[in-house]
Amino acid sequence: MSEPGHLTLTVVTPERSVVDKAVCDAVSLPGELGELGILPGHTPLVALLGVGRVTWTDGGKKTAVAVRGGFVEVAGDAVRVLADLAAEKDSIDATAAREERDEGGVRRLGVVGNEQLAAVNDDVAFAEAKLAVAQGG
Amino acid sequence: MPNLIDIRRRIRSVKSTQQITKAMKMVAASKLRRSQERVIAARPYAATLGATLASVTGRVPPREDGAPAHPLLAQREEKKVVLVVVTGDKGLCGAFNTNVNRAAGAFVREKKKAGVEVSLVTLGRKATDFWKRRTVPVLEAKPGLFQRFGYDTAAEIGRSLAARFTGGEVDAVYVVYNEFKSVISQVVGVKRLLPIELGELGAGEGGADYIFEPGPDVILGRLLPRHVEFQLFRFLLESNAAENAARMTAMESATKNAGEMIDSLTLTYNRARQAKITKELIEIVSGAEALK
Repeated sequence: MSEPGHLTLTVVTPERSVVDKAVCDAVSLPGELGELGILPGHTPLVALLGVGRVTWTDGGKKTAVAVRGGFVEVAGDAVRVLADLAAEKDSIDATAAREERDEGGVRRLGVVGNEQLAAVNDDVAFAEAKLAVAQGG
Repeated sequence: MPNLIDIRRRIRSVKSTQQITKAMKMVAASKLRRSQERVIAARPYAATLGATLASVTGRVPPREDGAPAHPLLAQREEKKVVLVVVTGDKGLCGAFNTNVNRAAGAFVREKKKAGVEVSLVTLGRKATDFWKRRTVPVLEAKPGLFQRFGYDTAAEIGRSLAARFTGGEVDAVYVVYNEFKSVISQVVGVKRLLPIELGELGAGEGGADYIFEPGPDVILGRLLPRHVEFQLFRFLLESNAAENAARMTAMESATKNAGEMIDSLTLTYNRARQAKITKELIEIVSGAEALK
């Protein structure tokens, strides 16, 4: 069990576990309807995730991972993130992420239809989030 | 009497076969470790997804007109079903592929007897090749799937199956695959993928009172397709682990058999050599006798 007044954050994707029970004071998540801030003692919550960064602080130390799609479940002091894709700092290649973003920006000009546009926007946003994580949160 | 040179040649050939089977066993063992790790890596996601799904479904009541809360939950009378056949891409793994194809055949016969139309989705080269030449219609075939597969591979197949189901084209989707029980035991299992049965998720459990953002019905609409995709992904992972385990066992016994064959050939070889020496000795002795 974690210490009282703390949260434990877990980030998993179908392929692997990205963050395993990190102890933290606060978590911030990219909810689909807007940024979600979770502090200890939060009401149980299930929310859809958008694209962006999951950041958490532990005694002033800030860490972040980039996520794309999925869910978050808050129950008691456990925050469980089920992301479709996730990338932590060590696994991100900044150059590749930058290329992805730029290439997505070019692709955006040529898309037809809202669905495609949304997909490309997500690609770009995920690349940007990865870039931000790679450059130190 | 067997020819000495021939026996020596055979020993040499069996020895090189043994080297190959031994190498294949090693490769299968390391692949098995990797695929087992993937199965384990998928577990935390499975646990969380299952728990979340259970708590959400408990809070979404069926529609007022009696229709279920989500199209993927719709129970219909089975008239047309899809069977997803999961085999490996390669042979040399004992009865691994044959078992699945045989179970699929039995399933098709049984459903036909009950007046249900069955069509197939074949995953893996062995299933694709086996069912290509038969009368059962194949909707989709993915040979070479296991060369490299990730969650998105399973997601794509899952989405297309879900679309067929919600479109009313099929009334149920089953999967036949090898369950990974242990390294030495793989059991062929037939599981129903669609419609989703809420009972098996332990729905309606009390637990904490969640806030849903957005509403529970929206979340359920997102969770259920994910559940289908993820189930399929797990079947693929398990089948892959089972295949490597089956191959490892098969290659181990092949190596052992080759060893036994070498032993018995060496015995014959030594016997033949001894017989030849004895014969030569007798010839020399009798030659010397004749000169006296």
